[in-house]
Amino acid sequence: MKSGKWRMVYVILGLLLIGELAGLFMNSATIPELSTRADRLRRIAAAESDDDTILPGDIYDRSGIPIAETDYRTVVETDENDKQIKSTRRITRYSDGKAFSQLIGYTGKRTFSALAESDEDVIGARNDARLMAFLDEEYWGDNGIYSTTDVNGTRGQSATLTIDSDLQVKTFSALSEEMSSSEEMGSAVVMNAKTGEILADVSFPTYDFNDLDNALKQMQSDAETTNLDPGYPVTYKNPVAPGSIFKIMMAVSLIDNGMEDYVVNNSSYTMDNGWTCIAEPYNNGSLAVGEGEEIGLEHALNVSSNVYFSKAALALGRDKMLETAKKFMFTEGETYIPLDFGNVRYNWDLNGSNSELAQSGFGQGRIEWTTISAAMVTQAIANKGSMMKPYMVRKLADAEGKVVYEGTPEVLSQATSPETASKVAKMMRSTAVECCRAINNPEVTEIFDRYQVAGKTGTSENGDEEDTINSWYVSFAPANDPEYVVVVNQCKTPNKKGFRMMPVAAKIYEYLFENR
Amino acid sequence: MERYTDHTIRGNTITILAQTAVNRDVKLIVSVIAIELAMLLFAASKGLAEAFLPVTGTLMVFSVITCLFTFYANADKTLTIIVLMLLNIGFLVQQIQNGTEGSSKSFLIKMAASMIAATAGTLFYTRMKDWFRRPFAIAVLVIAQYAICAVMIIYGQLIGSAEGQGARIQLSGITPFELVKVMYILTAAGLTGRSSGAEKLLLLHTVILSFCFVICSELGTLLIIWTVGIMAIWMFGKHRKTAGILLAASGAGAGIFWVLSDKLLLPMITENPGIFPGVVAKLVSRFGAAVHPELYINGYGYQSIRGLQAISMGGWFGIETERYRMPLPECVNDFIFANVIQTCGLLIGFIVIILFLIFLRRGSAISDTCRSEYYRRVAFMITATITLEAIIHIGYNIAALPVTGIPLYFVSQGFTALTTGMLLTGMLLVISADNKTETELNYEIG
Repeated sequence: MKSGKWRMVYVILGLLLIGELAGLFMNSATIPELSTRADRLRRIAAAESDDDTILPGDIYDRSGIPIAETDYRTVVETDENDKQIKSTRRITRYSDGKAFSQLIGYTGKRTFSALAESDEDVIGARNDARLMAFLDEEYWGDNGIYSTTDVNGTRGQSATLTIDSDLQVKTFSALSEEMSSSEEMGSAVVMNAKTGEILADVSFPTYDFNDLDNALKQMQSDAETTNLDPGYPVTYKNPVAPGSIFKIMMAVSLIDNGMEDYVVNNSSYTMDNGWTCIAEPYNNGSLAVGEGEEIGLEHALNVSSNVYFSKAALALGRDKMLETAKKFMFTEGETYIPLDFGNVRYNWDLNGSNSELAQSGFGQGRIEWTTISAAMVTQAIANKGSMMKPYMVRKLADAEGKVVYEGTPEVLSQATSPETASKVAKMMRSTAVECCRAINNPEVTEIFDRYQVAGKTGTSENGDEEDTINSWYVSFAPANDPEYVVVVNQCKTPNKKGFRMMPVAAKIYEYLFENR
Repeated sequence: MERYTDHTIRGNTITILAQTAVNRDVKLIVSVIAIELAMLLFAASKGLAEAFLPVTGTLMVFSVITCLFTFYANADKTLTIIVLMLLNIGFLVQQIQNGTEGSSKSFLIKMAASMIAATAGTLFYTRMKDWFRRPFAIAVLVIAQYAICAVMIIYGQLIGSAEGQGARIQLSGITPFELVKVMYILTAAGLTGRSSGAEKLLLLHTVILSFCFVICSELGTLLIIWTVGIMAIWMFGKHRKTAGILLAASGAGAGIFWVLSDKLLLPMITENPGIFPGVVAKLVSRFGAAVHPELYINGYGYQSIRGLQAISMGGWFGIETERYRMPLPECVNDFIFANVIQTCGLLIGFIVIILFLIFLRRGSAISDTCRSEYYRRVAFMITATITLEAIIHIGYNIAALPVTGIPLYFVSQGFTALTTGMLLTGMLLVISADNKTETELNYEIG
């Protein structure tokens, strides 16, 4: 017969096993939210395994030419004892390291934190902020270059972009002729005016990611010693003040609010807080305008009058400007527009003083755009007021070649009426003509005339200690039936007006219409 | 009208009972084969039918032979079936993990060798079981245990030295401390309840062995032997009170050490890794990281986290792709339970625990029906050892206990653990057969 102790031992051992049954169930993550730790560890395990076993899909341009191909490659390195060590690493090869690096970026594994404060932070971002890192599940759900259709697949989906690799290289060359690709900050974007497809996207400073280790070291050094923000491509990650290119949106706002005939006196004025808007004289040909003379909308756009547009901003008021901005997809309180290649950042805030509102009229104040933002606004004007959603991913295909996603043109917003867009487009064409006359560059003038380029310059101040400025040129062509939008800029430069970007745009247009 | 004598009625009754028993035995064999076929189907669902077929075939033959022997010897059938099921699960996991390319030849050889060794051991025990209770035999067993410990201290291979916390537990691919466990059970069963002096000797022997285990950093075996040995004295011995105090003190000490390690000592080690000597540091890190391994995810908690991740990835029926197989440390031995879950799923995990519950129940029944106090102690200690090992193994696999590194009998794939598990079960079956025989003899006599 069993003693009490004996029975107790068996009962305790039995209860411990039953307890473990419950413990096992708690840790199994079979019922979501039953155990936060189990859920998180499961997510981490899955993500970590995917990172270890799935090779990112290759990236192609719109014609199927490889831009970035990732594979396991044998690397020979020399250690401190001059001994050669072979290792297999996951390496991406770029067809043109410098032209594509800032667009494609590089890829790495994600970071994981089981103790993160929120569930969203358990799986961290990949170690880059550009396209290769973005083509991941956060935006793309079950698709992306790290996703496999086959559960045992080891190669992610390949991405075919809207990018034209020859155009990308040409755009890179054109921009390089105007500024240093490694020591200055600037960008160029070419967009299809009717569909929103991004055909080229170049950002400076750029690095050759074919030599990733050295490129990363250089980026780190530049990030610490310069103001070039190498980790944030200016085309969509690093907004700066737009300056006078903002005036095209002001023109739309004035016309849409029945103020097409708004006229101001071209005189300097000082606001209550002491800020003075200086009326700079314009002495070029028929558009010459002196201190105290009246000036209308088109004339003001042609000569880029700050007095006109600052007064226009005050006359329109915050609400009307906000309404227009919203149609152009700039929403107060938001900071980015999510697109298929990344979050296009901007800053939009009209809540400052009246003088800041006035400054907003000519693209200063608290307004900041990226190159893509400027291209979106320009595209809407070029496309009868219809803003197309910019897109860069033409298709995604699985390892067997089956297309799992196809990018198609999509209207993002009817930013303005076709009539208003047409009027502003004409003004932009006359502005481009006037600029050509002012810069007196026969080559640029000839190209602009040949392809009927419509555009607007912009020069904005950064308000930093070095008094750096940003030079912009937004444009589209041909003016009567736009095909392409080209936006170029140089940022944080010591002294360079917006018109200095026109030769870059001219070279790009020449290539677009002659060679493409 | 036909007249029946008492003798005729008894004879008919025995015939009917015998036929019923045979029918039941046939049903049991069919059930075992059905279970093995179900395992084959499970392997087939993972695309491994062809690869697992030789294993199933071998196991079926072994199962039928074992069942026939068990039935013939009138041993505990349920116990046999439980062990066969657990063995099946162990081999299933190994086959799935090896995939279609992995040859089953090597583990079939290992399985055959284990079975032969365990069968030989069991037959030896059948013949010599009474000899083991003699003082001379106990002295031989004690000397053998010390000899093994001495050899291990001098020649033992350090396993897991990468963390600086390895244990000296292997010798030429086998783990001799498993054999020490078997010998210790026989020693403790022989010394407990014999006399006050014998129990003191047992206590001294347990302390010396524990000291050897500390030197070898083999804390898992130390825990098992200490707990089972003292528990045996507490339950069957003459120094029950002392043993009770020792048990309570051990439990309380472990609890206090656990809390201290969690709250104070492990954070100290994290800041200053060299602050404690090797074995103490190992204990602190294992206890300190037990409950919150995620705090030390890339360090002391790494093994537990891997175990938990494997369990969380398994779902109900195992990982859907080998991509999600977690790299478990010692996945075929120390973390086999987590490996079972990630390979076969939560349901099989539940079945494993339930099988150990039934094992405990059967072991308790066998121990309970022993007429001899000595065999009662042996049966109890075998049952307690196997169940306790299962509890500790599963406990640290689900991060409820500190990681120790002991096998899950019958499921773990190490040769020594497999052989020891089957040998211990064989001994238990021999005792159960004796119980039945004694009961029937008593019936016949009655």
